Amino acid sequence: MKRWRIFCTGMGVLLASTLAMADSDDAFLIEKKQFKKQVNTLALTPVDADGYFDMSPEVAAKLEAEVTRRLEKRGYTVIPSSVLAGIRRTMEQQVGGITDGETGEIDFAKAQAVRTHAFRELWYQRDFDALANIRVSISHVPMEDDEVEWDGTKQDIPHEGRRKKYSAQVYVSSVAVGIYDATLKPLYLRYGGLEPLMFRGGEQLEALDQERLFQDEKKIREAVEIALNPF
Amino acid sequence: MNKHFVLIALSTLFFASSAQGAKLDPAYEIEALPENEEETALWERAHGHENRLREAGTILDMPQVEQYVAGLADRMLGDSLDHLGVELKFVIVEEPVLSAWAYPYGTIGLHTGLLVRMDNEAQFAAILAHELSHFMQRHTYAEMLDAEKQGKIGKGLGFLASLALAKETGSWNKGVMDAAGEFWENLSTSGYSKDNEYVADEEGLALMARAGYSIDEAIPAFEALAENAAYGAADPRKMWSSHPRLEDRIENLEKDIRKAKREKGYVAGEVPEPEIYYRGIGPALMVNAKLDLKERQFGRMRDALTRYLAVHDEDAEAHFLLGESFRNERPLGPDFAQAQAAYRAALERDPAYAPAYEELGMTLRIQRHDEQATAAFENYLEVASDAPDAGIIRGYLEGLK
Repeated sequence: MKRWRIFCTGMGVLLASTLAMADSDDAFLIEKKQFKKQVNTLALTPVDADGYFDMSPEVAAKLEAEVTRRLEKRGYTVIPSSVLAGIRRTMEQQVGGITDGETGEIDFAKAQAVRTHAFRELWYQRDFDALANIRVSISHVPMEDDEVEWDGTKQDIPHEGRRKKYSAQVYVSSVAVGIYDATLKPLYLRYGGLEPLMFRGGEQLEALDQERLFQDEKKIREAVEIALNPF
Repeated sequence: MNKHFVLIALSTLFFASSAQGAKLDPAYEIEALPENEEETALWERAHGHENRLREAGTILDMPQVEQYVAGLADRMLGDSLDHLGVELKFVIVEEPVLSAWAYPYGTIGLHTGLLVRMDNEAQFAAILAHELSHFMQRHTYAEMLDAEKQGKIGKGLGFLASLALAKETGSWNKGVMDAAGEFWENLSTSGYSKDNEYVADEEGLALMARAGYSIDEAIPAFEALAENAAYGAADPRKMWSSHPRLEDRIENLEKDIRKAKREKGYVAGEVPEPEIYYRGIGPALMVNAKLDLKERQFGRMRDALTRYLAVHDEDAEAHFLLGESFRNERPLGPDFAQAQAAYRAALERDPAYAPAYEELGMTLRIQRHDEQATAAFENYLEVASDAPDAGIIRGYLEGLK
């Protein structure tokens, strides 16, 4: 139960904004025709996640690979996130690092400077039409009879112990793909349901351990497919 | 004319014609406020909300603007409320959506977004007068009594905090709803009742006329609220302009204005020079321009800055921000003429204004004007050698060699 309480406290504030966009039927935020005319080359930013997650590089790489594969299949040219990451690394060195050498604390002014300049430098160095951001986010959705439906997917909540079915509110994860133009105007946003973040231990709902999350490649593929389905 | 005459006449007219809703004596007719324990509790709850906003840092410290607004309120109210000993206060909230509200104890909340969209003092007076009327008519308490009567809220007073929170922060956090439940949901989407809104509109006109403002200016003031369409359709911060429907409200206001001229003999009042207003709310114009930059409302941002610069042309930061509005609108150029002109204007006002050198350099670099970009970056480093991004700029300079 303690684990569950920590889980809830950490995520509560994130829910409203996530839910606000989760049910969007229209992923293209400009005319789809206009989007296709305007966007041919996309630059990926490193995979992002809501604060709760300890996103491993392996999972991030799988997500990026899947998004890239699907975008390229649809005829887009994709610049990998490693380009932006490389620019960031160079700039971090130029400012002498973004952490305080003595305390190890992040120097937020330097970190912000690197972030801002890195994006601008990416636009300066590369010829592309839009930035694409991949984010793993959390939402809170109803579970009915141990089944939960959200962001285009329907899945069972894993359980241990008694088989009697329950209904409750549960936390789930989704993959969001957002695409933005040079002014950071959103052009596209869609969520694909990834997997539940909870399991039923008898009659209790508990958070899954981080290391058990996002191991199922099929679920990653399906979530990305939902997120990019409107293309 | 008796100082209370117009207000009393208006409220009598309203209450005679209103078949529903709690009937409370307005503030200028009673001896003391709050009148009873229930109203006292309502005030306390509302104070709690205001305090939370303060703690959250969304209320700006703008004594100059507050003082200016207080002066306008004095002009409209005269000494009609002096006997109550209630100190009217005005809080300026950093928020680009056009909104205003009245706490039941006479503090008026004003979004910077609303302040900057009014064209002159008379227009702003229309909004201010409307909110002052909500306070004087004790509409929050009246709405609460109505809800209690309808069994929707019981004795819970949480709705006020929830209502105000939704209005200012856009938060739909039901955790602060307390016992408000369904009533809160209703208020969050519809606000005060239509009758209460209309009475505040009508009484607002009386206050404007009393201060000598042109009541015709209430129409463009309310029409400006339509600009909230730029924000999301479900954005609860838009509530002020959506209860009742804005179109209905303006139509009703037009009728009120015609009636006031015909029956009450209101004469054409004053429309003060816009610059008087811009000077009064100056700091709010600057704050909101920065908010508009975040919201990518570049046209609005330029409007605010143009107004500010009309009375503060010497301000380098305002010129720089004007440049930023152009650059952020077209960050890849290729034409940066307007942005660069504004950056240079900033540097004419303040030759040590580092951000203008930096952005001048950044835009010139995109245009491949390497020599000019180099000069701009060197100037930047000369005045801001310790800036967090100084190392990055040195990197750009290396590349330009």
